[in-house]
Amino acid sequence: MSPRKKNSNDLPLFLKYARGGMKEKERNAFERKLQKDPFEAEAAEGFSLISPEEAGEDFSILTERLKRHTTKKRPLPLMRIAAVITLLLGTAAVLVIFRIDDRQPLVSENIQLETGTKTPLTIASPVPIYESDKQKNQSSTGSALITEKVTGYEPAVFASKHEDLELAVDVSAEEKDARLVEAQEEIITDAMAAIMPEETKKVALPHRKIEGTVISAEDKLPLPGVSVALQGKVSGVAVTDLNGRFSFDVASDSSMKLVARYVGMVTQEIPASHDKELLITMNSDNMALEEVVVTGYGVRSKRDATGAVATIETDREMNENDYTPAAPVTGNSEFRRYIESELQYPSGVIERSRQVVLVSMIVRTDGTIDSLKVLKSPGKAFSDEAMRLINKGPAWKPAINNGKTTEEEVRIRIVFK
Amino acid sequence: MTFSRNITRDKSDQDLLFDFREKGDLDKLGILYSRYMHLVYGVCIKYLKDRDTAKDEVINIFEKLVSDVCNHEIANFKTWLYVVTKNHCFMLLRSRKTESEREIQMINDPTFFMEKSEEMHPLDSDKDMDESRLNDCISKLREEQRQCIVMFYYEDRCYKEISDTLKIDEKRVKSYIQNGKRNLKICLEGKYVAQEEK
Repeated sequence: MSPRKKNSNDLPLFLKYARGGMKEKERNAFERKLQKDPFEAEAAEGFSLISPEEAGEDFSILTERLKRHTTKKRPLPLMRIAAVITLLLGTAAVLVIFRIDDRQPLVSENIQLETGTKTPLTIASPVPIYESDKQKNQSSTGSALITEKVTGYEPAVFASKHEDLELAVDVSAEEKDARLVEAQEEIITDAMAAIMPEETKKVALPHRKIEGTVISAEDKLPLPGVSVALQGKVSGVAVTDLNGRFSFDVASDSSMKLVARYVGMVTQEIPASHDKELLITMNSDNMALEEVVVTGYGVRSKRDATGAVATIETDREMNENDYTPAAPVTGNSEFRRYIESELQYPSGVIERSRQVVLVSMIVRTDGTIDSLKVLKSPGKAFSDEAMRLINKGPAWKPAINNGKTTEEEVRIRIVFK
Repeated sequence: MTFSRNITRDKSDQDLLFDFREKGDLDKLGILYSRYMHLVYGVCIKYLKDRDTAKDEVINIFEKLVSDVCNHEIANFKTWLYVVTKNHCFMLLRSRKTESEREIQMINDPTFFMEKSEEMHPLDSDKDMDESRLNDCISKLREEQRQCIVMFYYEDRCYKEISDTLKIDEKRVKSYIQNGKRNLKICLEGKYVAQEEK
């Protein structure tokens, strides 16, 4: 209880106790310790709910987390400042680089600085060039060319000796700094302008009103609650009223598209025009509203499909040219009706739920069924019933590819309900 | 470095607390907290019943300490931390569960109503005491309570042994000891009237 005792954490004791690693006497001593301190007693109760290994593992995780909590706080302000500085320097550097590319004078200035310090004497007059030629054969020819440019740019500065030249370098360095600052300021204003063109344009240009009505393609009645917005814009969404009417203001130069969205309808895009009244017709989108069972011919909503549904999946695309897939001689819809009426939910199954049996078979060129097998089934009773239906069912006509009959694997889904 | 660390390790709770308050040294509070973190974790597990939640709450309680430590007069850090931890867990449960769920949980937990005395019980203290009076009081206890107290404090038997010998659940052993202790205390303080049946 009191801090005069050893300060180290006594978790190991708890773990040893929990693990049953203590002799009776030791246990009693530990339990007495718990009796003295309700905090420890409750903690021990907590530890009894989990395994000692879990407790040990969690404790090391906690120690780690606590360490992070205690150490991360102090260096944080410093880190923040450092991060901000790095960011600023980085941005400045990027700006400078781009600006240098844009502005020739700065480049030549750079060259001037470099060459100026390297070959100071060659600049003074044409006569000493010969001397320096003798002294520094390698450097002078290259730099002489630049010299012309340099002297043309700032002739007065390079007239005299070393000290003056250094001064000149200093001056131009300062100048450079000043220009950089200037350049940066310009860039920043440019950037600001680029970031907020909308704002300025909005102020400058008159607003135009876009108005229109949204109707449903099915019954030509107005659709209320359709959201109409300019493409790519988050703001400025209009919602149609009870009469399907919408209107909103846009900048007159916007040559964008209008997007109309409505649940259960195909999203419509039309060019925005402010001269005339707009009429947006929306088509209903079945896929969005209902789960659809796609069958061999046509589309059926699952809601309408009561009872058993047989779905035929063939190996090939249905709409491929000159290809007719294998099908029951009675036709797919008749076959489906046959399955629906004939299907018997296996007796003995107490809780009837939706079950699917997937069977596979090969329809030979002469229409015979071969290799009939069950690919997926919830149980034998279901498989047997599925097999019975196929075997008792109508004959099949083979698939026809470019006028020739071919073998085809057909998969049939039989849904028990 | 290691030297100064050792010094920190040997510092008392109060000193560490003082350091933190005066200098705002979070490290010190961390060291102090780590001394009892396993207890906080254990209590969190007991009430919240989930390892991950318990871990999160252990860290949350620490965060809470950072601000609370400065606003409270703390005589004994461990005791104070116990209260803070328990309150934190209760608040969490209250906010999380509906009234009925909580009641059921309380009723199902036999230790929930167990008395947790804050003061040191004579049996737990190392000091000598009036043996004859104590023995007199022990003899006045109810049978199960007396048996458990005697076995636990005089025969140095652990909960498990007692539970095996008396063929009662370990939780009941604990509650007999707790309640026996409470009755003893009342008796020792002279308020014990022998109206409780034998």
